[in-house]
Amino acid sequence: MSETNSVPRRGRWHLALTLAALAAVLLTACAGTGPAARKDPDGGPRPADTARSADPGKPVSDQHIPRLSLGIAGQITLVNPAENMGAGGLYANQLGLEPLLRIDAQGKLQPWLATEWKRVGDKVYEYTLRQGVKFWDGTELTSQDVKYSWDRLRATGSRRSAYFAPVDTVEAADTYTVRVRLKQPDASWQYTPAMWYSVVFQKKFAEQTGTKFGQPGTLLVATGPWKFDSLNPATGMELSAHAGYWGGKPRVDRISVKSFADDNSMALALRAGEIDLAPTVGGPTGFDAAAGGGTVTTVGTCATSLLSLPLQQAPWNDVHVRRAVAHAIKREDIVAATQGRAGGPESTLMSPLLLRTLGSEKEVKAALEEVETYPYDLKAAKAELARSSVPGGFRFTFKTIAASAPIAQVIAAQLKQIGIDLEIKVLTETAWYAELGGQNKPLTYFETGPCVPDPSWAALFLSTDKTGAPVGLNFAGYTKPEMKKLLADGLLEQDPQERLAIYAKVLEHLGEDVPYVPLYAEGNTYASIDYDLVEFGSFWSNMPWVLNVIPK
Amino acid sequence: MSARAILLMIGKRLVALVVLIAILSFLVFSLVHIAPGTVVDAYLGGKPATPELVQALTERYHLDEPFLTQYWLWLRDALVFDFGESTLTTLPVTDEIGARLGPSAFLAVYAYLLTLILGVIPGVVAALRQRKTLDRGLVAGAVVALSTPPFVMGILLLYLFAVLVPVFPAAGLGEGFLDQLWHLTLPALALALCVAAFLLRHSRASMIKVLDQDYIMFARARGLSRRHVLVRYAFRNALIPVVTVSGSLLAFFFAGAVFVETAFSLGGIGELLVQATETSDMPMIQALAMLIAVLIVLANLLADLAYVAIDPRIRFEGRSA
Repeated sequence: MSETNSVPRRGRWHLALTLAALAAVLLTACAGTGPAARKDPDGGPRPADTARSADPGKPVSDQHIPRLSLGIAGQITLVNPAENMGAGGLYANQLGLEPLLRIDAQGKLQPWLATEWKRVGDKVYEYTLRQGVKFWDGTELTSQDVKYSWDRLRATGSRRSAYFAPVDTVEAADTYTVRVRLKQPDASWQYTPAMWYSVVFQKKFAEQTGTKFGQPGTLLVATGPWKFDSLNPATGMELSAHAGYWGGKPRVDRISVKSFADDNSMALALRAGEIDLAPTVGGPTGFDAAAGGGTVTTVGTCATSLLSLPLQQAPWNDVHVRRAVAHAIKREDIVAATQGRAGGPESTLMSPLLLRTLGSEKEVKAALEEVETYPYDLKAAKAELARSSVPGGFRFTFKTIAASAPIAQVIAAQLKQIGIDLEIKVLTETAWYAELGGQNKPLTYFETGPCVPDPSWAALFLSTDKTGAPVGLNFAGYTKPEMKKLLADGLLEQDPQERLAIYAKVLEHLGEDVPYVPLYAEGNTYASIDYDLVEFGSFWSNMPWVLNVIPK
Repeated sequence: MSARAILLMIGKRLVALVVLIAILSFLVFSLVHIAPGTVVDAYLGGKPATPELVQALTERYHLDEPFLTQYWLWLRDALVFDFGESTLTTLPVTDEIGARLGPSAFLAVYAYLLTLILGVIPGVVAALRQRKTLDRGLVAGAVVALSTPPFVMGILLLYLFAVLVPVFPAAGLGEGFLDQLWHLTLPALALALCVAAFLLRHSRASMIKVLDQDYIMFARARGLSRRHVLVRYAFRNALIPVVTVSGSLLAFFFAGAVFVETAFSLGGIGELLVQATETSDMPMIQALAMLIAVLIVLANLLADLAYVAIDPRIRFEGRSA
């Protein structure tokens, strides 16, 4: 799972979700019953699906907004990008902290703080900084600040160090040039300077404030369009426009970020006019009912939710059992159980959206021709199970967290039809994480969270160590030797066509072995009565996203 | 009871508090320790991490040390009021609690006062109008309020008074006394109504029992005014069992308001405790457990002192002996 809106973050609020579910029942009677997702009145593409048209640093809309109130689920405890923070904190952080590049809706890199970037050697990348970029205190951004920020983010003990694992050194080649040397060629690095975990802050302020850097009383200094004025971990954050912003003074003068414990109270606040926009909503259907209808917009992303099958335990070590399960899953019913959170059914671990960064739609389709998928087919499921070591079915425990229990119930009901009897055991999040990291992996379901444009992102769920043992987020315990080489080749190879062929091969293995059953494309949802967010795709939150707010 | 006896009682309670905190801290530490998962599991939350980061976190939180060493390391710092940093947010525990203490205390006191007003006064009125329409109406209302969980009440109040008739805000804490009062009225009401209903029934029963006592009849026979009999004899005596109950209410409102805090997104102490427990945030759990223990002991001490003020039998107990 990667950061921000993964299930655990949502799951933290399982108490709150109980309230939200009850509230939805309570309020549906009195609330408007609008559609789960707003359709564009003209029948054209929704603003959320429209590409950002403005120049770097410029707002999409010229409308002047004196104050924009944002509702964010969860509390913002600190703004230090190297430390732990909830999803709400990350979304708020991106309003003030900027990366060097931007990823557009197609997953292509675009200039932001850097105007140019190039791969100057197998393992060397150079970034030319935009000149005249001012920090909030008026000093100019230089390559020293970028070097300091990235060195701090990749230091041992930094929460973001895993994302910088390929980096050998970061150098300030001259005032406006940053040079990154990798330990070995790594095609996935190209996207890192555009992600939320590579944002830049001022070296001088960070050195002066030491361990207090990023904490509520200290905050930080960065270059983004909105300055962090104050932060209260219990209630939220205040931001104001950075008059010296390199893209021109933003059209939104002030931003209030209010923390909400759950979707329901946030929906009521939206309905009461106390917030203007909620950039993320966990349960769109319930939220929309409580907010009065017609408020939510969901866009499918390149993240895929997965049913993880514990390969190292019987009977899951039998591929026929796994294939039977894959055939018995009716994805449409699972999508319905997500309460509007899903973007749509998905049948491969790597979303086709990820592969599109390597080839055209036609090329991707051709590459995936040999990949086995498992459409819902009870007859085929029963036939596979009949060929397995447990032809009459079996009992097993499905471990999950409270927030995922409704999905688990649907999966259990579907597998019951082929004789697999699942007992659902709900764990606390910490206990669940401990199980996922332990030797005996559980049968479980999880959302993978925001993805990176590169297909190598999916390697997170297939990682093995030098001895071939599963590590990291390889929750299924998939250890096929060929996979290790393929994943390594996928990073070493730089040619997109070759890489497409490699990842198609990875998917072929996954289709054959079924360590995971892909369920649905995860969705991002925002809610507002008055505003829309342009280019609200998989990568919306990697830039100062309020620049993409437009009036409805 | 002499002033010396009162001071002795306070002293005993404070000693008991120290012993209680010592036992509680060890018990809480042990329970969190044996619960599945560690702070590293919670901190990383199944997200990408290098082995070096895992090792650094393990050392930072002393997870590679034996259990008793871990406890001692915590205790050593706690003795000098250094409660460490939250393992989830990395902020100092005292900062995190400090940010939430004010609003939680405001809400607790506000709800407490509302509970007393909405519980005791209607309870006494119901007792005086026993078996009349008003009595039946108040008792029926109390049954409804008692049967409605505070978070359901909260959502109802939110919908009615923040959305349908927007006279109160739907969320937030407000700034300054009056603004906070306005912002916290609905949460305080949601929290108070259920408990006030309980207190109403308790006050009613207590008052009815007192009104049946011989000394009330004698007071009336002596020709004392109805007002004098009710306030000086009946109400003060009826108040004693109510004080017993209300002593622990303040602490309950302070730490047990998690459902209402969630419904109104108040970010208070109760919500923080639940979050800390879910993520095995040991320093935070320990500090909150200590805080709540202190509050409970102090609230009960206050209730006992209130007894002394209300009940002359206790006040003069020492002198007559």
